[in-house]
Amino acid sequence: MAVTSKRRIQRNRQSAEAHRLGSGPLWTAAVYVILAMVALTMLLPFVHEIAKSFSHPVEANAGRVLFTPQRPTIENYAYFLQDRYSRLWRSMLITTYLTVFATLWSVLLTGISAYPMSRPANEFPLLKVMQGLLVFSLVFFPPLIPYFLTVRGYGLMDTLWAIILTHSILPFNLVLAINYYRQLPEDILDSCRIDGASDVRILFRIVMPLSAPMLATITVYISVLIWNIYLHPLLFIRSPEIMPLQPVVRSILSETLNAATSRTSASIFDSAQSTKSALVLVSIVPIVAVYPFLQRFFVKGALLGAVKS
Amino acid sequence: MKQRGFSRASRGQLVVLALPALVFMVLFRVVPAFGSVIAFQDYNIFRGLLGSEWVGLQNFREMVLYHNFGRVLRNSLIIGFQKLIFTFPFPVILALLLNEVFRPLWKRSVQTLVYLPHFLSWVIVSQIFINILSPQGGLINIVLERGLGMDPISFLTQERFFRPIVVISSIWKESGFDSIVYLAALAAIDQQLYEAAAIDGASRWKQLWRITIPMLIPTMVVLFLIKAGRFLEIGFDQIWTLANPVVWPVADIFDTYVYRKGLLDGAYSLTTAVNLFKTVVSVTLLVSLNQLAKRTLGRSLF
Repeated sequence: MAVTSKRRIQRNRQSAEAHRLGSGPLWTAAVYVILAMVALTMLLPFVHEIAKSFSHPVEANAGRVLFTPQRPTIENYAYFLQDRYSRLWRSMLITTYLTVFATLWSVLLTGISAYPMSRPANEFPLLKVMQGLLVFSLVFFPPLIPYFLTVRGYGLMDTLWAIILTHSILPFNLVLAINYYRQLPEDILDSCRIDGASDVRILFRIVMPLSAPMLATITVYISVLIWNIYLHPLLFIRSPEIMPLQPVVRSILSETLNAATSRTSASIFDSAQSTKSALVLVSIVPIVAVYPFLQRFFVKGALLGAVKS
Repeated sequence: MKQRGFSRASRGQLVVLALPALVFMVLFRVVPAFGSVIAFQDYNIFRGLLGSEWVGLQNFREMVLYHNFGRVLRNSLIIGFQKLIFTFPFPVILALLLNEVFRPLWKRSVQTLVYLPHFLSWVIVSQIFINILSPQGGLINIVLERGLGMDPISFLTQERFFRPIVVISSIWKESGFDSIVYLAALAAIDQQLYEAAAIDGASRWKQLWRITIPMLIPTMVVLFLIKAGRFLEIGFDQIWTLANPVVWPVADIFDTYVYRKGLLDGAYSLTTAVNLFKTVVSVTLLVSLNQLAKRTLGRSLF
C-alpha cells in the first residue's frame, strides 16, 4: 500500500506538466496574487516588529514606524543587557539545556517502549493493557489540580524534572513510533532472530537505526514543545534560577508594560513598544536559526501521524 | 500468522522494554485521574487525599450556582465553536492554492513562511498580535490612521474584539501547518483524472470543483471530526497570553478559570469539579466523533 502510493506520487510529479492543462493566464494570475497576499500577511508583522526594534522608542510609540526604522538605534537590544535582565539570558540557557536533555530522554524512552507495543499479542503479553493505557492517555488529560498535586506529591516541585518526567513520553509520538515500527520489513527481524539476536539487540542495532526518519520527526515535535513550554513551568517552577524562557519573556513583557508606573527612575526604553519588539525578536532567534532543520522533518511527521487508515 | 518460537527470556525482554511507557502512563495519567476524586471532597492540603472530608456532589452544586460557571461555559463553547468553524477552511484553501503553483521556489518560499508561526510559542505570537494591534504605533492602527483617517483603536481592551482576535491569531499561527495534510491528500490524487478532464476541455476552475474538491472531502471530514472532538481544548496558553483583566468576561475559558481560581486562589476541589465537567464532555465528544469517523470513513485517530 505504502509502496504503490509512493509510486503514484512519483508518477504525479512526472506529469506535473500535464497538471497545468487548462489553466489560463487569469487563473494563474489569481493564484499568484492571492498567495502573495498570504505571504505578506505572514511576513509583514515580522518586518514591522524588526523595524520598530531598530527604531528610537519615541518614534515607535508615536506610530511613525511602519516597515523602516526611524532614527535607527540598537539601544532597544542593548536595553536587555542590563543586569536586571540577566534572567532573560539565563532562562535561554536553562531552556536550551532543558530542551536538549528532555528531548533525548523522551525520544529514547519512546523509541524503546514503542518496540514491544509494535509486536503481536502472542509475543508481547501486555499488549492489550498497554494499548488500553495509550488510548486513555491520548483522549484523557487529567484535570489540572489533581495533576499538579500528583506531580508535587512525587517531590518534583521546583525542579526541572517536573517538566522532563511529565514529558517522558508524548502519547502522540508513541503512536507514531509504533506505527512506524510495524511497517518495517519483518524478514529482517526474523533473520536476526535466527542468528540468535535478542530483542534488545534487535531494537538497538536494527529497528532504531532503520527508524531514523521517524525518530527525527518525534525529536522535532518534542523539542519544539519543550522549547515553547509555558504552563508547566507556571505550575511547577518557583525559583527564578531555573525558570525557562517563555514564562520569563512573558513576565518581562508584562513588567515593561507597567514599568512606567512602578518605578521612579524610568527611562524612555521602559514600556516602549520598541523594546517589546526587540524582546520578541531576541526570543525567536534560536527557533528561526534551527527552523530549516525542523522544516525538513516535520512535514514527514505531519503525514506519518495524521490519521490511521 | 507466522508461528515463531519465542523463549520466555524474549518475552521478559519485551516487558522490560515496555516499562518506561507503562510507568509513565500510570504515574502521570492514571494516578492523577484517580486524584480527580477531590472533586467530591472538601480537599484540605494538610489532610491530603485520604484525610479530606467527602462531600458528594456539593462542589458541582456550588459550581452551577455560583462562581461564574455559566460565563466560563459560555465563553468556552463560543470560542471553541468559533475557532472550529472559522479556522477550518483556511488550511484547505491554502493547500489548494499551493497545489496550483508549479514554480518550486515560489512554493517553497510560501511554505517556509506559513509554517513558521507554528513553531513559535503563544507567548510570542500573542505578543506579536498585541504589538501590531497596539494603539501606540501598532501596524494595524497606523494603517487605519493613515489610510482611513481613523482614531487609534485599543483592540485588546474591548470585549467585542477579543474573540475575533483569538480566531484570527489561530488562523495566522496554525493554517500553514494544518495545510500539510491536505497537500499530501492532493498529491495522492491520480493525475490521469486531470489529464482526461483537460482533454475533454475542462478549465482549471471546473477541474477544481469536479475533481480536486470531491477527492479532498474524505480528508476534510476526518480532520473536521477530529477537530470537532477537540473543540473544548482551546488552549490555556493562547487565551492566557492574549487576555487581560478588562476582557475576562468574554475571555475566561475552563482552562484559564481553573488555573486562576484553582491554582492561584486555592479552590482546589471546586475547580476540579469544573475541570472534570469539561474533561467528561470533551472525552465523550472525542470518542464518539472518532467512532463516527471510523464507521463512516474507515479512518480514525485511535
